[in-house]
Amino acid sequence: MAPVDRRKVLIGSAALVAAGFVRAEEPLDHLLGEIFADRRPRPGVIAMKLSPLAENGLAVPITLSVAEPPANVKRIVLLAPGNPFPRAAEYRFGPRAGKAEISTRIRLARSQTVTAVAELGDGSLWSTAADITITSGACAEIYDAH
Amino acid sequence: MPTDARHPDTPETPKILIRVPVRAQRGDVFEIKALINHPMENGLRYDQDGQVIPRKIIHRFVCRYNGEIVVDCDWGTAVSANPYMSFFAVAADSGTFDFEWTDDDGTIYRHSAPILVA
Amino acid sequence: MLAGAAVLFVSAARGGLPENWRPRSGHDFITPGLKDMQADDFSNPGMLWVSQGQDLWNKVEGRAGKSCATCHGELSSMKGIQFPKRAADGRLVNLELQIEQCRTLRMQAPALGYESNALLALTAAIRNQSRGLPQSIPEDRDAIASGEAYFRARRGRFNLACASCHEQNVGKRLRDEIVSQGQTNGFPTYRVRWENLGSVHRRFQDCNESIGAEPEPLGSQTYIALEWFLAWRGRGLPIETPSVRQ
Repeated sequence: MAPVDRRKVLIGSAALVAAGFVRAEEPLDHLLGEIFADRRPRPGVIAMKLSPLAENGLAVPITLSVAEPPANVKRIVLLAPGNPFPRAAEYRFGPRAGKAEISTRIRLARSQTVTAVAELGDGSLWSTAADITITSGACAEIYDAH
Repeated sequence: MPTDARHPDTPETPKILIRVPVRAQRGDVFEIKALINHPMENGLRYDQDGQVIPRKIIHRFVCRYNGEIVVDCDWGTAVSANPYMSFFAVAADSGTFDFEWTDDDGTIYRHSAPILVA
Repeated sequence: MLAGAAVLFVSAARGGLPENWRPRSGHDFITPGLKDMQADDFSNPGMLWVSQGQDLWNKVEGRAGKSCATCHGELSSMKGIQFPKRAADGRLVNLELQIEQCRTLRMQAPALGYESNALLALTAAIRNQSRGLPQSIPEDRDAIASGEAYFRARRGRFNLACASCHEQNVGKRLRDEIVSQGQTNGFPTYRVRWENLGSVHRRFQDCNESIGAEPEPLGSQTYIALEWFLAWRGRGLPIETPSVRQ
C-alpha cells in the first residue's frame, strides 16, 4: 500500500470549515420549521451536557437527557446549525428503553450553538442549547485549514 | 476496517465493541455502550487525486431487546467517525440484544449479545 | 552510564533540560473529554483496532500456512516485548518492520503495508498486551545518540527542533492547545484529528510538516532511531496503547 501523501489530502474538518464559510449558518428557526412546521419548542425538560470548548471538533462528547420516562418521549432531535448538514441526529425510544438519555460523539464544523429538541407524547416541544467554541490545536499540519 | 481513501484494506465486517451486562435483575435500568469502526465519510473530503470521496455513513442505528426497540436512531454526517453511543435499557426477560447499523450502501452490520435476567 | 553522559553533554550544549524535568505522559496534557474516551475500552476507538489485531494474530495467511500464533503462541505472550531493537546486521527494527518481516519471510504472506489498518491493528494488539507496564528499552548508545541528535537539530521553514516545543515549551499554550513532552508511550494512538489509529512514524511526519520540514519515510532508520531515543527518554512511563489524543 502506498504511503500516505498527506500534502494532497484535506481532512474533513478543513473541508467542513470551508463549506461553512461558503454559506451562512442556517437560521435555527428555519431548521425548526422544516422539522416541526409551525410548532416551536419552549426551554426546559431536556438537558444537554456539552463542553464549552473543543479543540478540533471531530469527536465532541455530548449527552442529552430528558426528565420524562422514555415512554413519554417520542424523539430527540439534535441540531448543529453551524454544520454543513445541520440535522445531526434523531433519537427515538422504544418500549425497552430504560431512560430517555443518550451519549455520543459528534462533529462540529465550527463554533456554534448546538440545540436539542425533545418531542413528548402529547406533542409538546422542549429545547435546550449550548454554545461551543471550536479552537484550533497546536500543530499547524499542512491540511489543517483552521 | 472500513473503506477509506487512505486505508483501502477492508475486512468484510467492521469491528464492533458492545458492552451489555451479562446478567441483571428484572426492572434494573442499565447502560449499554456500542462502538463500531466506520469512517462516516461525509462527502466533503478529497482524496490524493483531488477527487471528492463520496459520502458513506451509517445513517441508522437500532437496538432491540427480544425484538422490541430500545433505541432507534437516525444519524447524519455530524456523528463522529467510529461512532459511539451509550444509552439505557430496562431488564425484562432473559434473551438477546440485537444491534443493527445501516450503511448508506445498504449493508446492515449486526451484532448480538445475550442477557440473563433473574 | 556512557549513554547518560552523552545525553548530558548534548543537553548542556543545547541549553539543557528544564528544571524539575520528569517524564510525563501525554495523558497529563489532554482534556477531560479525551481522558474519558481513553479510559473506557468500549468508548476508546483504538480498541477497535486491538480487537481486529486479535483476529489477525490467529489468522492463517501466506504460502507457509501459518498465523502469528503458530510460532508465537498466545497474543498475551507479547507482554513485555521491547521495540525498537537492533538486528544482527546492525539495522534498527521497530515493531511494524518486525511484523512485516515475519509475514514476508516466515509466513510467506504479502506485506501489509506501513500505516495500513491491518498493520496498525496488529501493532496495537501486540503493544496493548503491555498496557500498564512501565516503558523500557535497552540503552543502545548509538541508536539513542542518533535519535537525540535528530530531536535537537533545528529544521524546516520555522527552524525548530523537536526540543524547541517538547522540551523548552512544555505546558505552555500553542494556539489553544497545551504542548506536551511528545512522549510515545501511547502509540499506536487514536488521534482524533486523524479519525483513525495511527503510528508514531505518522505522528513524526505530521510534526515535520507542521514546522515546514521534509518528513522522513515511514519505517526509516532515522525515525526508528528517534523512536528509540523517545522510548528511552520516556522510560518508566506506563504504556497506554491504544491512547487517545487530539
